Amino acid sequence: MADTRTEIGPASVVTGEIEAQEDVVVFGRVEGGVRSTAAVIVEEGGLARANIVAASVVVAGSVIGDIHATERVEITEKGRVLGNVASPRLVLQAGGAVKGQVAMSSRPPEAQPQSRTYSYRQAPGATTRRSSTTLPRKVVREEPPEPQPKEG
Amino acid sequence: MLDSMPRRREMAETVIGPRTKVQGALEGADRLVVRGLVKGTVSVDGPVLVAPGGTLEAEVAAVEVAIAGAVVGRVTARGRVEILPAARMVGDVRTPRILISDGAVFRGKVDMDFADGEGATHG
Repeated sequence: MADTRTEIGPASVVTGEIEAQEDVVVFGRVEGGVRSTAAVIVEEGGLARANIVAASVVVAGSVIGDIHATERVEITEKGRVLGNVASPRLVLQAGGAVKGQVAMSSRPPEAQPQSRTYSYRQAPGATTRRSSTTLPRKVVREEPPEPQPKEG
Repeated sequence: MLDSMPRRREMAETVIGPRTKVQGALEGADRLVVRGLVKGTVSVDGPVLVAPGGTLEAEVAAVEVAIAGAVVGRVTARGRVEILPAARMVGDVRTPRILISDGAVFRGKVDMDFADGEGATHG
């Protein structure tokens, strides 16, 4: 049912992992990780210093961490993302900002290797590539983990 | 909602939904309503409500705590604790005021030797 959801209030901080089968709306702060089979929404004024994995993600506040969505990611006019974004669909509204790798892939996050071992991972500022859809999957997995510059 | 709790509109809320699990530390000044599962520690400068169906496996420190769900852990409330009829609680309670309703299942120690707003005089 879509009538229940989790809300982290504006004066609240969750340090740890949130795992949900419903929408998670962050008005306050989350430090750790957020996973949902539905939507994760970081509202204006909200901060998620966390990796976010969800069906859809809306960022109107700030996210420091990687975002993996199976459906779509939307970064609104006030939204800020410092981290990688992987989603089949991405909407970046005028005024919004993202700094990190952007990968628009139709493969679900579980089928992809962890972002740390992506072979195409490069320093910030490098051109984005449509990587995992052009490389055969086994090539990416055989890539030995190289020390990569950390982002975010 | 309990009459003793501040009305919803006066205070922002953190609601942990029925299909959500939080593992870690939850702290803040918003009213907390647990309808899902919270494991870890809870420190709220305000009211905490464990709704029917909610589960709290945590060390809790708050102003007021109302329990209508399941709680395993120690609860410290500088205002009051209400253990409601649907409550299933295992854990010690430290609070100056406590209400345990008929029908509640509770196992633990109750320590009411607790000055309002003050820390413990003894462990």
